[in-house]
Amino acid sequence: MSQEVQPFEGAPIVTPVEIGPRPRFRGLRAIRRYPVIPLFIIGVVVLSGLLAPWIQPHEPNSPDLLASLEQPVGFGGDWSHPLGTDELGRDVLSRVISGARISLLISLSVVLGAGAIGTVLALVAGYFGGILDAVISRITDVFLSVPFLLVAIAVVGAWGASTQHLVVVLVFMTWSGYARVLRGEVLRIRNLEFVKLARVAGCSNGRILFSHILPNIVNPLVILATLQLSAVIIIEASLSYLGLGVPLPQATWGGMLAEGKNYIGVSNAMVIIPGVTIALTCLSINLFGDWLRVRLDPRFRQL
Amino acid sequence: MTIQDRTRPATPPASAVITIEAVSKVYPVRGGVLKAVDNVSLSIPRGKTVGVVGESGCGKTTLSRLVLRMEPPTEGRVLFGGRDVWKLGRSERKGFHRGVAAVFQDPYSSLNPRHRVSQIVLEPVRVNMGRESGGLSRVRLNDLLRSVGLPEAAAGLYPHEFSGGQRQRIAIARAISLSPDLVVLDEPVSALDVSIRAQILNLLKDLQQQIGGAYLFIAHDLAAVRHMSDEIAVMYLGAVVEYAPVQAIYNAPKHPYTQGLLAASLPPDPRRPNLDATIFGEIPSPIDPPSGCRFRTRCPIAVAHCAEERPPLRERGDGHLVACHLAD
Repeated sequence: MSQEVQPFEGAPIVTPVEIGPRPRFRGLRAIRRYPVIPLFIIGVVVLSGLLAPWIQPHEPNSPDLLASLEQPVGFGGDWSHPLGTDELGRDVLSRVISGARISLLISLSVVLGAGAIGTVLALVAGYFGGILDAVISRITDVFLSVPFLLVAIAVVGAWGASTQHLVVVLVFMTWSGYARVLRGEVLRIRNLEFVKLARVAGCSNGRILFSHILPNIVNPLVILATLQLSAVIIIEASLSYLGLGVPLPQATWGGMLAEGKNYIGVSNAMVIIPGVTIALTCLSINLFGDWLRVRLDPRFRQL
Repeated sequence: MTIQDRTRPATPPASAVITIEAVSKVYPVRGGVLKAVDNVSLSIPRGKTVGVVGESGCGKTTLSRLVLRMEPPTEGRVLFGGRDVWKLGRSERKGFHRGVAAVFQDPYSSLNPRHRVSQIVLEPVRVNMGRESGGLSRVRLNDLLRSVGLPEAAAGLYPHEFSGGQRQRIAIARAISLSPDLVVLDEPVSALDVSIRAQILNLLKDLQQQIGGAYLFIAHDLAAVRHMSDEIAVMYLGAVVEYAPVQAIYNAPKHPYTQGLLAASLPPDPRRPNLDATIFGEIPSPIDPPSGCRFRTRCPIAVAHCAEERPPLRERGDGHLVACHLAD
């Protein structure tokens, strides 16, 4: 390929298009096109969550003091407790699986609730404008400026820790992010020509909102929702770690982390396992969300 | 023909589709008010094309928004079929939306990127014809696509799969889907490559023959306006300064602004250097327009009287209206 470029002479030089080496395995190509690894991890977490009562090898909350602080397989443990046991002899694998259920339940509820509230308010504020917009935007500002981990701690502290309280508080504190970002997007789309043409054609406000504007804010909505999904998992873990999340006997990733830190010198697996679970799950969700964004936009769609 | 027959019987001929009566549009801005459209009267005859020309910021687009009922005028009325468009009942409003359509300048933002071509083109039918539209849709869609020169296979595609010119064809197919009485064409070819402008303009002309609708053609390209229009309104700072049949405007412009515009746009001819009527200076701020005649600050023939009295739009023979004290 050491072809010299010779100007002013004869036919134009056509450089052959560089084609990268063909992937040796089909699998490699699939990994490039689909987020196989994140999907696999999300799949495992979701399945664990859904099937927790049937697949957990032990009862996650039943102690067995004779088998406490066992190491995982490969670190001196045996297959009766693949990921070892905690200080009360509870099976760590079962607790991780059971924790997946509670993490998913909470994060999905929060994202659905906050996303719905935020989207509706953004549509109303951005599309109708005027006083409605001013009022909604100011309320959004107020909520955005509140340090919500502190509020969550205060509220859960006042009402008492329970899963429902946690969900309500998290929805209440996270809808504003959707409202703020999506309102701007609605505002931008509302002024595009196709919306004006829809009005010229006699479309009702409802039709313009739901057929023209809503589909065009799906992108930011998906990005926000996935970021929130992992953020909520982390917040739930933080609150559980602080003892303000899901009440104690129930296994949660954050709670396991909190218990594990007291025994970190004896069995660091008790910290590493829930920690890695949280990190991998959140990373996978974010990678998947990124892929979904590209996928949902027809401009990126390849037939 | 096929397109018209399928939707409804031809409307009985009347003098004008849309009549604009002494319409003004004022926007409050910091430091005063902006009179975007100033006391404009215009009527668009059935089946004809009225061209509107003028520099950017002269109120052309605001005028189109008023005609399309996108904004209420500050003063005056816009009449559709003899009725004020802001006082229509529910069913009359449907009639208005059935009778009036638009094509805008930007073919990229004119089409919803999330809708397929079929959805875009047939939306006016679905919205305004209700149940009646059902069975007709597919046949009609194919008719419409064919009439704008797109393959039937385009129906299932998304806008991003088309070029600018093709997108404008899609926008046109949508605009004519209900065989409207009036299509407002707001700079329909300004954003297109020069090489495809003529195609689109000729397509619009052909379609006008077929559906018999009127056009309000807004542009700053004088050649395009000449090609398309039967009558032309020249606007300056929100007001119409000259209104006449196309031949009269191009062959015997009477307003110095029109003369200047034409001189600035005619192709250079070495045998006839046309420098005497060039417009100098910048367009004045519409927030603080000059007293008297608004064009006087740039007019090559202005006299003292022009600063005192604003010239009304007066008929100077044969449907030729001019707003100038000095025009004969």
